[in-house]
Amino acid sequence: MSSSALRGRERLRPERPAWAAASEPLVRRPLPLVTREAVARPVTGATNARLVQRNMNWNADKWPPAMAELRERGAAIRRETLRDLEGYLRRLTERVEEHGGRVHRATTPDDARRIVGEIARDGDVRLAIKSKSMVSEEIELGPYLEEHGVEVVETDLGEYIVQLADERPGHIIAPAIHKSRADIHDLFERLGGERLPDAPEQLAAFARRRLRDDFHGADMGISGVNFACADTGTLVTVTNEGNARMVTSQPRIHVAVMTLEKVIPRFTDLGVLVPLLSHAATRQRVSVYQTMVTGPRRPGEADGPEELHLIILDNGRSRIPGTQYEEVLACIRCGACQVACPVFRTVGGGHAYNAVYGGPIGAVLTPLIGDQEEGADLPFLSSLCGACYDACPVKIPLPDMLVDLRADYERRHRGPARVGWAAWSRLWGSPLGYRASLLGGRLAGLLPGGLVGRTASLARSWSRGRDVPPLRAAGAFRRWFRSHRGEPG
Amino acid sequence: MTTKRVTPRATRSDPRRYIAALEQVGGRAVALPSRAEAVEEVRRLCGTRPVVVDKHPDLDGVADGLHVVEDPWGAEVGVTGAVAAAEETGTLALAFDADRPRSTSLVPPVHVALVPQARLVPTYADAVEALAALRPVPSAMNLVTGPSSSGDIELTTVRAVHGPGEIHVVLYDE
Repeated sequence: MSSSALRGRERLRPERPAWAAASEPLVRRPLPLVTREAVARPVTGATNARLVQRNMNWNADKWPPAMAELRERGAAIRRETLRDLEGYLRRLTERVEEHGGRVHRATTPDDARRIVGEIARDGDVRLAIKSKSMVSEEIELGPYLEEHGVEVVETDLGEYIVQLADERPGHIIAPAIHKSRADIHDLFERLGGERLPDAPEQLAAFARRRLRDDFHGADMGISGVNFACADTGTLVTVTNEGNARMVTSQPRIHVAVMTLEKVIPRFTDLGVLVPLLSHAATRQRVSVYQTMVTGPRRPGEADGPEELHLIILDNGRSRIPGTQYEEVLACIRCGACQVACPVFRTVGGGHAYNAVYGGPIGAVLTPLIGDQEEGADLPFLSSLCGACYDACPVKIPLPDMLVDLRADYERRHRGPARVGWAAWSRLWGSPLGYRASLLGGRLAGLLPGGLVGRTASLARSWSRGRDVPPLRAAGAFRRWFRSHRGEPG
Repeated sequence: MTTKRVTPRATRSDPRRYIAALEQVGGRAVALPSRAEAVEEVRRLCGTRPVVVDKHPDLDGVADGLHVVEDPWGAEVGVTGAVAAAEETGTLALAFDADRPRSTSLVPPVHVALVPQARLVPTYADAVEALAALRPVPSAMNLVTGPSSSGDIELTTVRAVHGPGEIHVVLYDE
């Protein structure tokens, strides 16, 4: 069977820069270039406005007393997990296998893709339905399976929208945050080849109708995992739409993909972690569905998958425990740090990070996983205002980590900027040098603007997209201060 | 007699709290004084529409007189019981097995649950505990709080995306 949800996809034209594309491999480009393009895009202002509004609404009641207590407990549970990550993973594996599931450990994204590809080939899979999973983005699973003859349909409403638009998700839990209702209306009308009302309810109903046959007829369901309980072997997804329930119950094969830090010690920890995740992610008391899977269907059961496979991806994460960045693995992927981050909002969401995970969590995680050179400069995409820490439901010290990662970057990259800072440090180390620099600054202010952007030197990749601020008033405060010193206020 | 039985129970469990919490997230619930009245209410909610009903002792006799079908994909209403119901959040705790398929509460656009008030627990964490106590661990379980929803279009909440757009919980005093 072929997908009915994707029928008409050939009528759609992608309208996004290459760095936001899902179908093209991630090729990292200099951050100043990408962010400048991102800020200039017409969609960015509207995305920023939506995120700013949400951030303002949420700031009024960030951690009410009962939630503040859950936050402490959640933070403790996640750190307890990290103290014996491998032990909990061993117990999880035993329990899942006891219940008839198969567990596959994948060291690299390539291993993970290949394992899923083999499961699809052995199971003669033609159509796979997916619920939301950031790990599947990390291993670029969709494009891989498509290349191997498996049609893959994203079933989360936001993921379905970005799949049709051939884009990566713009936010961890709100993948189509950068799309206006008009964009989505236009996309759905062209896909369906029919006129549609533009109310959000009607647009959602269109997606529901389109996806229903695929839920019923798909061979394989691919889901993420929000929490994997080590004591019972239960895999939990937290959703509002119900698509993860479909994906995990209707097809004959279920593949769940998780990264190794998703394990939690006890099933009963869900009583703390689910309300905490729901509050941080969407300000719900609890999300609508917590779908819990413990092995495949059992004898006599009318539905549920015949095969359950759990893929546990490492991709460099096992390097992190024991380092100063250990707590980044406490993350429960709520996306609250993204909403709280002024830089994330200003660049119009996650695409501008040119990485799978955007925002503060992405700026910390990306340089630590996979090929560590990739995204090593992302920690600079932050104002270090600290809002991400205030928003974090498990109290990850993201601002401290951003500073430490910048220091790591500087140690590894002894580039022109480092020479420049060393020279500056020596100059301002003496009163004479400092005064000379102020005079130099005032003289530089007489030069025409835009000069830095036109430098043709080895610093060019850094200097594009930047300029020197007006310098004519350099030293003005100190002159004013000197002239007023000693006078009564 | 009836009042005598209801009063001490009301101190332990509070159906009004449950009803308010579920209504807040877009579901509907009622509390009725007897099982007979509750079963009548379930039948009223189903009407003549095609329904799937779990074959479980909790639902004995409910299917009588309803237009019962085998295939959930051809049903317009799914009728289930529940392991527990959390007053604080309006959550239903569901466990699935040979008698209680995953699809009943998922595939039809309307979900109706018949739940004795003795299954009410105060908090969401208590509902999690109720599922945690089941042995052997069921192959599938779900915690359901309200109708299916999404905020993926301009962060506006819409209902009825992939799961049921309507959820009705009928509570009764035993």
